[in-house]
Amino acid sequence: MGPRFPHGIRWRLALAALALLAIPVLALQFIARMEAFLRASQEQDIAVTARAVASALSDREALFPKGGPPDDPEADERRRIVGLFAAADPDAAASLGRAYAPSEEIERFLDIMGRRASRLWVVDARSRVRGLSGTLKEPPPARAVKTRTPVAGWMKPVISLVVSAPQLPAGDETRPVRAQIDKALIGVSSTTWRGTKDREVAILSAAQPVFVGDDIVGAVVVEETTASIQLLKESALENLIAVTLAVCLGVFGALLFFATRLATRIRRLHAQAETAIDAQGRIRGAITVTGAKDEIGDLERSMAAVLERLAGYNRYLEQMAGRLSHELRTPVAVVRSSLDNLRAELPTDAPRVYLDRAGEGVERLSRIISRLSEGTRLEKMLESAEREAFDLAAVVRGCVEGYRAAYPDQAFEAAVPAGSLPAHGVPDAIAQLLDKLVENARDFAPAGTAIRVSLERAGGFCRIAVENDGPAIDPDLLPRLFDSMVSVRPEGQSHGGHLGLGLAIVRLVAEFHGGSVRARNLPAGRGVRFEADFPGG
Amino acid sequence: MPRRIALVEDDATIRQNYADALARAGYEVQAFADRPQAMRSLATRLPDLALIDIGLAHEIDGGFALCRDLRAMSATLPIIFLSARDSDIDIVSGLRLGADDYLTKDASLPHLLARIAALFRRVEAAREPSKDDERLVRGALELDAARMTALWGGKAVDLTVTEFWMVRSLARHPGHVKDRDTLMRDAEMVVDDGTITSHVKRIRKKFLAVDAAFDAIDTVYGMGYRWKEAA
Repeated sequence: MGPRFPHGIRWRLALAALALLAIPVLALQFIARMEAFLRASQEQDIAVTARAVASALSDREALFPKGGPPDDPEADERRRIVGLFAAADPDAAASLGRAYAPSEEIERFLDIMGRRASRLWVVDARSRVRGLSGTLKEPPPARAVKTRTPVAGWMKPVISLVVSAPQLPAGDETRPVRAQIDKALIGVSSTTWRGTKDREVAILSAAQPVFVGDDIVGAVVVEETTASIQLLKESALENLIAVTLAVCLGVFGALLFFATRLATRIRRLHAQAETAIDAQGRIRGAITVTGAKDEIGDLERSMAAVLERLAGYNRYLEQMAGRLSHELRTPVAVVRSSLDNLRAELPTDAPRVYLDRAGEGVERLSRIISRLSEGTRLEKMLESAEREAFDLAAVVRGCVEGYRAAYPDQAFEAAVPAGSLPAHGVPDAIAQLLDKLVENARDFAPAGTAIRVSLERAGGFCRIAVENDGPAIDPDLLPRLFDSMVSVRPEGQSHGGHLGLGLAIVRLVAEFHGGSVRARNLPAGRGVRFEADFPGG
Repeated sequence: MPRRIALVEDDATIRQNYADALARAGYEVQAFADRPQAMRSLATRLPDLALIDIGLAHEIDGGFALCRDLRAMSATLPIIFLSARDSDIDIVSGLRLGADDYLTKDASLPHLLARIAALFRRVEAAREPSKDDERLVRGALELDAARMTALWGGKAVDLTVTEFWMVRSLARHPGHVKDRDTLMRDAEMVVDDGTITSHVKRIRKKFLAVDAAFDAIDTVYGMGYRWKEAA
């Protein structure tokens, strides 16, 4: 049904449900804020640690003996090595080579001060690393071992849209560390972020000068990775995604179910309303009331009530003819019996011309009354009639023979297939249908022209057609011809008491057999053709 | 002594017209406007024939009830229904109320009188030996026009007067198609084509009730009906 309702209720509700997407967006923003907050506090922590270590080491000349020229030619080289060490392989103290001049005391001190998952080192004014403790490669916590959910995998691009990784300066990797040390050695403490090979992980480092007296003798560098925050963030994201996905799916499913139910009920009502009244305005079906207590239930009830009232009115109209004929019969009987009595009591030689005329009038009236109730009677007959298998071709052939015998002045052309054309229904009614079609054709066929009666197989049904050479019918009237009380006869021509009931009978019979009727003008004004289709054949 | 006819009809004008015509024809007429009146009088003394309107004043089917009551009192009393509704005719046959004939009020008075005469003739003839020329034998069918009785294979088929004349009209010339007009003329009916169809249906049913293999009446669509000669 989807394509039929591009703007159906379900579609619209689905659109409205897009608002649900705000939930994950809000949550992601919250996580981003949380991450920023965590980073800020980590920066503070690390700066505090650096300051503490630096102040612990300050004013201890023994640890930073003076010596060597202040502009040691090797100092630059060492600083490069230190920078490399910091940037490249955080682990290898060995890579420091000659730049590594550890002091046992400093190292012990650093070990005490060290934090988990952080690296502390001390560099002196001559860029020698005097102590090193800790590693940036923290032992992975249990959570990280856990296999990542696939969601986290394919959500990464989405996450990266929302959560920005810390903006890291690109370029020489050694530069940040060297710059930091340089700054520390002139007395400026700093905190910086720098990137690693792992895009997700950044290193946070804080440098703090170590003073002896007023002299800067070295710098303390504390480094930590953001891995822990990253892990925290990822697990939060995973949770968030799982929960929002579940909530969204749940809500969406509930909405869809609700909308589908609503749409189904409305569609059912729509279908019933569509089929309840046919093109001619007759009641063909009913609206079943489900007894639901909601607005749709109310709609069902009121539509059923409207239909019921309409059906009642239609019944009244349909029975009108029958009732009319019944009511008219009694006065006609009064007139007729009075005339009969008058005739019996008049002397035999009295003039009877007026009596005869009155008799003729009553006779005609009687025929009209009979016609009036014909439809009602036929309906009753069809209700009780038993359908039987019969040969449609034989019925049509027989009828045409009958017309030729009954109306010797009228020419008939018949095109009926040889052999039999089995059909199922009430043959008497079919004969009556043909009677009415021929009767109608006779009224319009100009003198000297033939009425053409044909029976043919057309697709899945049999088609009875009757054509006359009479004048074309107003196209606007064509579809209404088969309605009761519609007659296109010119004024003054309805001498036979035509009430437009004949073709209504044709339709009645055809529809009783599950068939249909139509009338059309033949091209070039060559006459009018009436067709009745019956299933089968 | 003139025959006594009970006329039950609620419309005063029609009742009077019918009563006049019947009296002119030499019958003694008792006219009643409704069922209780008729029953009170008829219960004490049965008429020779009853002419009953189906719809009586406030009782839509009062005539049917009256017919049942009268039939309960006498199995042989000839009863004719008069009706303004042609659909009633089907009801009459459907209810098998034991009416001997039925007419719509369209029927002319001479026609009504002819029908009444035919019914009396039938009652009378039942007591007299019939003459040969009024008898018609076609295979299993035996018709006696004087008594208005029909036999099929020796068994009586209970036909109304109308039905009897239709069967006689058909059987007189087996193989010939009788169109509806001819049948109407022969049965002295003043009803329309549709009624002929239902008459023929009822006749078939009555014969079928006697002999399940009955198929002597042939429908020739568009033309009429035909009595099939026994093979």
